[in-house]
Amino acid sequence: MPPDAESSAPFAGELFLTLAAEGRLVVDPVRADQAIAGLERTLSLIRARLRILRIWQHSPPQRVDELPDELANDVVDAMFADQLAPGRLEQAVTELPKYIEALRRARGRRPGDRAEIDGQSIL
Amino acid sequence: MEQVRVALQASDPLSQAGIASYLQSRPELTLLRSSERAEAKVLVVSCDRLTSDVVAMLRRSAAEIGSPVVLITNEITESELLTAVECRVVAILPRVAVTAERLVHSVLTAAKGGGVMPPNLVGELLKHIERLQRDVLTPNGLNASGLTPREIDVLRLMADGLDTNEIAGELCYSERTVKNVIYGVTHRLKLRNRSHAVAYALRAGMI
Repeated sequence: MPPDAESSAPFAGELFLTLAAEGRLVVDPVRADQAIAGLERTLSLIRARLRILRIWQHSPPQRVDELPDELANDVVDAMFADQLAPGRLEQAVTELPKYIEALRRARGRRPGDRAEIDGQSIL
Repeated sequence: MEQVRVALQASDPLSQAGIASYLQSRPELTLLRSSERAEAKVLVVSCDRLTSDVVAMLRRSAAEIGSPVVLITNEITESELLTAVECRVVAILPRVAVTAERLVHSVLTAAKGGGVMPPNLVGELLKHIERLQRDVLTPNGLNASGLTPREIDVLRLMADGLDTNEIAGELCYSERTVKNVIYGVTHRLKLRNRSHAVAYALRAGMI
Protein backbone atom coordinates (compact mmCIF):
# COMPACT_ATOMS: atom_id res chain seq x y z
CA MET A 1 0.00 0.00 0.00
CA PRO A 2 1.41 3.41 -0.80
CA PRO A 3 1.86 5.67 2.20
CA ASP A 4 -1.14 7.71 3.14
CA ALA A 5 -1.30 11.40 2.49
CA GLU A 6 -1.91 11.80 6.21
CA SER A 7 0.94 11.03 8.56
CA SER A 8 -1.27 8.86 10.76
CA ALA A 9 -3.93 6.33 9.92
CA PRO A 10 -7.43 7.72 10.37
CA PHE A 11 -9.67 6.29 13.08
CA ALA A 12 -12.65 4.37 11.75
CA GLY A 13 -14.31 2.94 14.84
CA GLU A 14 -17.83 3.83 13.67
CA LEU A 15 -17.22 2.17 10.31
CA PHE A 16 -16.10 -1.05 12.02
CA LEU A 17 -19.18 -0.98 14.25
CA THR A 18 -21.41 -0.53 11.20
CA LEU A 19 -19.70 -3.34 9.29
CA ALA A 20 -20.07 -5.67 12.26
CA ALA A 21 -23.68 -4.68 12.92
CA GLU A 22 -24.60 -5.31 9.28
CA GLY A 23 -22.83 -8.67 9.29
CA ARG A 24 -20.41 -7.58 6.58
CA LEU A 25 -17.40 -7.99 8.85
CA VAL A 26 -16.77 -11.58 9.89
CA VAL A 27 -13.51 -12.35 11.66
CA ASP A 28 -12.06 -15.73 12.49
CA PRO A 29 -12.36 -16.14 16.30
CA VAL A 30 -8.63 -16.71 16.84
CA ARG A 31 -7.64 -13.61 14.86
CA ALA A 32 -10.41 -11.59 16.48
CA ASP A 33 -9.26 -12.58 19.98
CA GLN A 34 -5.66 -11.66 19.14
CA ALA A 35 -6.72 -8.30 17.78
CA ILE A 36 -8.96 -7.62 20.77
CA ALA A 37 -6.15 -8.52 23.21
CA GLY A 38 -3.77 -6.18 21.37
CA LEU A 39 -6.30 -3.36 21.38
CA GLU A 40 -7.01 -3.80 25.08
CA ARG A 41 -3.28 -3.70 25.83
CA THR A 42 -2.89 -0.56 23.72
CA LEU A 43 -5.86 1.07 25.38
CA SER A 44 -4.45 0.39 28.81
CA LEU A 45 -1.06 1.87 27.80
CA ILE A 46 -2.74 4.95 26.38
CA ARG A 47 -4.85 5.46 29.51
CA ALA A 48 -1.72 5.20 31.65
CA ARG A 49 0.02 7.74 29.45
CA LEU A 50 -2.93 10.11 29.65
CA ARG A 51 -2.92 9.83 33.43
CA ILE A 52 0.72 10.90 33.42
CA LEU A 53 -0.06 13.85 31.16
CA ARG A 54 -2.96 14.99 33.32
CA ILE A 55 -1.00 14.67 36.56
CA TRP A 56 1.84 16.70 35.07
CA GLN A 57 -0.47 19.34 33.62
CA HIS A 58 -2.40 19.77 36.88
CA SER A 59 0.47 19.68 39.32
CA PRO A 60 2.19 22.88 40.48
CA PRO A 61 4.96 24.12 38.18
CA GLN A 62 7.95 21.83 38.50
CA ARG A 63 11.08 20.85 36.64
CA VAL A 64 11.29 17.58 34.79
CA ASP A 65 14.69 16.88 36.30
CA GLU A 66 13.12 16.91 39.75
CA LEU A 67 11.05 13.86 38.86
CA PRO A 68 12.23 10.27 39.34
CA ASP A 69 14.05 8.92 36.26
CA GLU A 70 11.24 6.64 35.17
CA LEU A 71 8.52 9.26 35.41
CA ALA A 72 10.67 11.96 33.83
CA ASN A 73 11.13 9.93 30.65
CA ASP A 74 7.43 9.18 30.42
CA VAL A 75 6.51 12.82 30.99
CA VAL A 76 8.94 14.04 28.33
CA ASP A 77 7.70 11.43 25.83
CA ALA A 78 4.08 12.23 26.60
CA MET A 79 4.50 16.01 26.36
CA PHE A 80 6.46 15.76 23.12
CA ALA A 81 4.02 13.35 21.48
CA ASP A 82 1.10 15.53 22.55
CA GLN A 83 2.70 18.55 20.91
CA LEU A 84 3.27 16.64 17.66
CA ALA A 85 -0.27 15.30 17.49
CA PRO A 86 -2.48 17.15 19.97
CA GLY A 87 -5.50 15.19 21.11
CA ARG A 88 -4.43 11.97 19.39
CA LEU A 89 -4.36 10.00 22.66
CA GLU A 90 -7.78 11.29 23.73
CA GLN A 91 -9.15 10.36 20.32
CA ALA A 92 -7.63 6.89 20.61
CA VAL A 93 -9.26 6.37 24.01
CA THR A 94 -12.64 7.11 22.43
CA GLU A 95 -12.09 5.15 19.23
CA LEU A 96 -10.31 1.96 20.29
CA PRO A 97 -13.24 0.66 22.38
CA LYS A 98 -15.36 0.88 19.22
CA TYR A 99 -12.92 -1.40 17.39
CA ILE A 100 -12.97 -3.80 20.33
CA GLU A 101 -16.77 -3.88 20.37
CA ALA A 102 -16.91 -4.32 16.58
CA LEU A 103 -14.49 -7.26 16.71
CA ARG A 104 -16.48 -8.87 19.50
CA ARG A 105 -19.60 -8.63 17.36
CA ALA A 106 -17.80 -9.82 14.22
CA ARG A 107 -16.13 -12.72 16.00
CA GLY A 108 -17.19 -16.24 15.32
CA ARG A 109 -20.15 -15.93 13.02
CA ARG A 110 -21.12 -19.07 11.17
CA PRO A 111 -18.38 -20.05 8.66
CA GLY A 112 -21.06 -20.44 6.01
CA ASP A 113 -21.71 -16.72 6.21
CA ARG A 114 -18.35 -16.00 4.72
CA ALA A 115 -17.84 -15.39 1.04
CA GLU A 116 -14.81 -16.83 -0.72
CA ILE A 117 -13.46 -14.19 -3.01
CA ASP A 118 -9.93 -14.52 -4.25
CA GLY A 119 -9.74 -10.90 -5.31
CA GLN A 120 -6.02 -10.26 -5.35
CA SER A 121 -5.26 -7.46 -2.98
CA ILE A 122 -3.32 -4.52 -4.31
CA LEU A 123 -2.79 -2.99 -0.91
CA MET B 1 -28.56 -21.67 -13.43
CA GLU B 2 -29.76 -18.18 -12.59
CA GLN B 3 -27.71 -15.47 -14.24
CA VAL B 4 -26.09 -12.82 -12.08
CA ARG B 5 -27.12 -9.34 -13.14
CA VAL B 6 -24.10 -7.07 -13.29
CA ALA B 7 -23.80 -3.31 -13.77
CA LEU B 8 -20.56 -1.77 -14.96
CA GLN B 9 -19.13 1.70 -14.45
CA ALA B 10 -15.69 2.47 -15.88
CA SER B 11 -13.87 5.76 -15.86
CA ASP B 12 -12.96 5.63 -19.56
CA PRO B 13 -14.60 4.21 -22.70
CA LEU B 14 -11.79 1.78 -23.44
CA SER B 15 -11.99 0.14 -20.02
CA GLN B 16 -15.78 0.13 -20.26
CA ALA B 17 -15.65 -1.71 -23.59
CA GLY B 18 -12.94 -4.14 -22.50
CA ILE B 19 -14.53 -5.12 -19.21
CA ALA B 20 -17.96 -5.30 -20.81
CA SER B 21 -16.63 -7.82 -23.32
CA TYR B 22 -15.18 -9.89 -20.45
CA LEU B 23 -18.53 -9.91 -18.67
CA GLN B 24 -20.66 -10.50 -21.76
CA SER B 25 -18.58 -13.50 -22.77
CA ARG B 26 -19.77 -15.44 -19.73
CA PRO B 27 -23.13 -17.22 -19.81
CA GLU B 28 -23.55 -17.04 -16.03
CA LEU B 29 -23.58 -13.21 -16.14
CA THR B 30 -25.94 -10.64 -17.60
CA LEU B 31 -24.53 -7.19 -18.21
CA LEU B 32 -27.19 -4.57 -17.57
CA ARG B 33 -27.65 -1.32 -19.42
CA SER B 34 -26.99 1.77 -17.32
CA SER B 35 -30.74 2.45 -17.13
CA GLU B 36 -31.19 -0.97 -15.46
CA ARG B 37 -28.48 -0.43 -12.90
CA ALA B 38 -30.87 -0.48 -9.95
CA GLU B 39 -31.50 -4.18 -10.66
CA ALA B 40 -27.85 -5.15 -10.39
CA LYS B 41 -26.87 -7.93 -8.04
CA VAL B 42 -23.22 -6.85 -8.31
CA LEU B 43 -21.66 -3.58 -9.42
CA VAL B 44 -18.25 -3.56 -11.14
CA VAL B 45 -16.40 -0.24 -10.96
CA SER B 46 -13.15 0.45 -12.78
CA CYS B 47 -11.06 3.56 -12.15
CA ASP B 48 -7.44 4.71 -12.01
CA ARG B 49 -7.79 6.11 -8.51
CA LEU B 50 -10.54 6.53 -5.99
CA THR B 51 -11.21 10.19 -6.81
CA SER B 52 -13.91 12.22 -5.09
CA ASP B 53 -16.17 11.68 -8.10
CA VAL B 54 -15.75 7.92 -7.87
CA VAL B 55 -16.35 7.97 -4.12
CA ALA B 56 -19.50 10.07 -4.62
CA MET B 57 -20.77 7.57 -7.18
CA LEU B 58 -19.98 4.64 -4.87
CA ARG B 59 -21.76 6.30 -1.97
CA ARG B 60 -24.82 7.00 -4.11
CA SER B 61 -24.83 3.46 -5.35
CA ALA B 62 -24.44 2.02 -1.83
CA ALA B 63 -27.36 4.12 -0.61
CA GLU B 64 -29.67 3.53 -3.58
CA ILE B 65 -28.87 -0.01 -4.69
CA GLY B 66 -26.78 -1.51 -1.89
CA SER B 67 -25.22 -4.18 -4.11
CA PRO B 68 -21.73 -5.46 -3.37
CA VAL B 69 -19.05 -3.78 -5.49
CA VAL B 70 -16.04 -5.30 -7.25
CA LEU B 71 -13.51 -2.51 -7.63
CA ILE B 72 -10.80 -2.53 -10.30
CA THR B 73 -8.18 0.13 -9.67
CA ASN B 74 -4.49 0.91 -9.96
CA GLU B 75 -3.70 1.60 -6.33
CA ILE B 76 -5.44 2.43 -3.12
CA THR B 77 -4.35 4.00 0.14
CA GLU B 78 -5.43 2.92 3.60
CA SER B 79 -7.97 5.71 4.03
CA GLU B 80 -9.32 5.02 0.54
CA LEU B 81 -9.66 1.37 1.48
CA LEU B 82 -11.80 2.34 4.47
CA THR B 83 -13.96 4.52 2.25
CA ALA B 84 -14.27 1.73 -0.31
CA VAL B 85 -15.31 -0.78 2.33
CA GLU B 86 -17.86 1.69 3.67
CA CYS B 87 -19.31 1.85 0.14
CA ARG B 88 -19.80 -1.93 0.01
CA VAL B 89 -16.67 -2.80 -1.96
CA VAL B 90 -16.03 -6.51 -1.31
CA ALA B 91 -13.21 -7.20 -3.77
CA ILE B 92 -10.38 -5.02 -5.01
CA LEU B 93 -8.61 -6.15 -8.15
CA PRO B 94 -5.40 -4.54 -9.37
CA ARG B 95 -5.89 -3.21 -12.85
CA VAL B 96 -2.67 -4.66 -14.19
CA ALA B 97 -3.48 -8.13 -12.92
CA VAL B 98 -7.17 -8.40 -13.69
CA THR B 99 -8.10 -11.24 -16.01
CA ALA B 100 -11.48 -12.32 -17.30
CA GLU B 101 -11.38 -15.38 -15.04
CA ARG B 102 -10.46 -13.46 -11.93
CA LEU B 103 -13.06 -10.79 -12.56
CA VAL B 104 -15.83 -13.28 -13.20
CA HIS B 105 -14.88 -15.30 -10.15
CA SER B 106 -14.95 -12.17 -7.98
CA VAL B 107 -18.33 -11.13 -9.39
CA LEU B 108 -19.86 -14.55 -8.80
CA THR B 109 -18.50 -14.77 -5.28
CA ALA B 110 -19.66 -11.24 -4.49
CA ALA B 111 -23.14 -12.22 -5.66
CA LYS B 112 -23.07 -15.34 -3.52
CA GLY B 113 -21.57 -13.64 -0.46
CA GLY B 114 -24.21 -10.93 -0.30
CA GLY B 115 -21.80 -8.24 0.87
CA VAL B 116 -19.82 -10.18 3.46
CA MET B 117 -16.18 -9.19 3.13
CA PRO B 118 -13.76 -11.88 2.00
CA PRO B 119 -10.83 -12.92 4.19
CA ASN B 120 -8.23 -10.91 2.24
CA LEU B 121 -10.16 -7.68 2.76
CA VAL B 122 -10.73 -8.51 6.43
CA GLY B 123 -6.96 -9.06 6.65
CA GLU B 124 -6.36 -5.56 5.31
CA LEU B 125 -8.76 -4.12 7.90
CA LEU B 126 -6.92 -5.97 10.67
CA LYS B 127 -3.66 -4.48 9.34
CA HIS B 128 -5.29 -1.06 9.60
CA ILE B 129 -5.98 -1.76 13.29
CA GLU B 130 -2.35 -2.77 13.89
CA ARG B 131 -1.05 0.29 12.06
CA LEU B 132 -3.39 2.56 13.98
CA GLN B 133 -2.04 1.30 17.30
CA ARG B 134 1.55 1.72 16.16
CA ASP B 135 0.82 5.28 15.01
CA VAL B 136 -0.52 6.17 18.45
CA LEU B 137 2.04 4.28 20.53
CA THR B 138 5.33 4.90 18.74
CA PRO B 139 5.47 8.71 19.19
CA ASN B 140 4.87 8.07 22.89
CA GLY B 141 7.84 5.74 23.16
CA LEU B 142 5.51 2.77 23.58
CA ASN B 143 4.72 -0.31 21.55
CA ALA B 144 1.94 -2.86 21.37
CA SER B 145 3.95 -5.43 23.30
CA GLY B 146 3.23 -3.41 26.42
CA LEU B 147 6.92 -2.78 27.02
CA THR B 148 8.80 0.46 26.53
CA PRO B 149 11.90 0.44 24.28
CA ARG B 150 14.03 0.81 27.41
CA GLU B 151 12.37 -2.18 29.07
CA ILE B 152 12.96 -4.23 25.92
CA ASP B 153 16.65 -3.24 25.90
CA VAL B 154 17.06 -4.25 29.54
CA LEU B 155 15.21 -7.55 29.09
CA ARG B 156 17.30 -8.43 26.02
CA LEU B 157 20.51 -7.92 27.95
CA MET B 158 19.12 -9.90 30.90
CA ALA B 159 18.32 -12.69 28.46
CA ASP B 160 21.96 -12.52 27.31
CA GLY B 161 23.02 -13.21 30.91
CA LEU B 162 24.25 -9.74 31.88
CA ASP B 163 23.88 -8.64 35.51
CA THR B 164 22.57 -5.24 36.65
CA ASN B 165 25.99 -3.62 36.66
CA GLU B 166 26.81 -4.87 33.18
CA ILE B 167 23.42 -3.79 31.79
CA ALA B 168 23.90 -0.32 33.28
CA GLY B 169 27.31 -0.09 31.62
CA GLU B 170 26.02 -1.32 28.28
CA LEU B 171 23.08 1.10 28.18
CA CYS B 172 24.82 4.02 29.90
CA TYR B 173 22.25 4.02 32.72
CA SER B 174 22.80 4.07 36.45
CA GLU B 175 22.35 0.77 38.28
CA ARG B 176 19.42 2.37 40.08
CA THR B 177 17.70 3.06 36.78
CA VAL B 178 18.19 -0.51 35.63
CA LYS B 179 16.77 -1.79 38.91
CA ASN B 180 13.80 0.56 38.54
CA VAL B 181 13.16 -0.66 35.01
CA ILE B 182 13.24 -4.29 36.12
CA TYR B 183 11.04 -3.56 39.13
CA GLY B 184 8.59 -1.66 36.93
CA VAL B 185 8.19 -4.42 34.37
CA THR B 186 7.95 -7.29 36.86
CA HIS B 187 5.49 -5.38 39.02
CA ARG B 188 3.32 -4.27 36.11
CA LEU B 189 3.17 -7.67 34.46
CA LYS B 190 2.85 -9.45 37.82
CA LEU B 191 5.98 -11.54 37.28
CA ARG B 192 7.81 -13.30 40.09
CA ASN B 193 11.43 -12.41 39.37
CA ARG B 194 13.95 -11.53 36.67
CA SER B 195 14.05 -15.01 35.15
CA HIS B 196 10.29 -15.02 34.96
CA ALA B 197 10.36 -11.62 33.23
CA VAL B 198 12.86 -12.83 30.63
CA ALA B 199 10.92 -16.04 30.04
CA TYR B 200 7.68 -14.11 29.70
CA ALA B 201 9.15 -11.64 27.22
CA LEU B 202 10.74 -14.41 25.14
CA ARG B 203 7.58 -16.48 25.07
CA ALA B 204 5.49 -13.49 24.02
CA GLY B 205 7.97 -12.62 21.28
CA MET B 206 8.63 -9.23 22.89
CA ILE B 207 12.41 -9.59 22.79
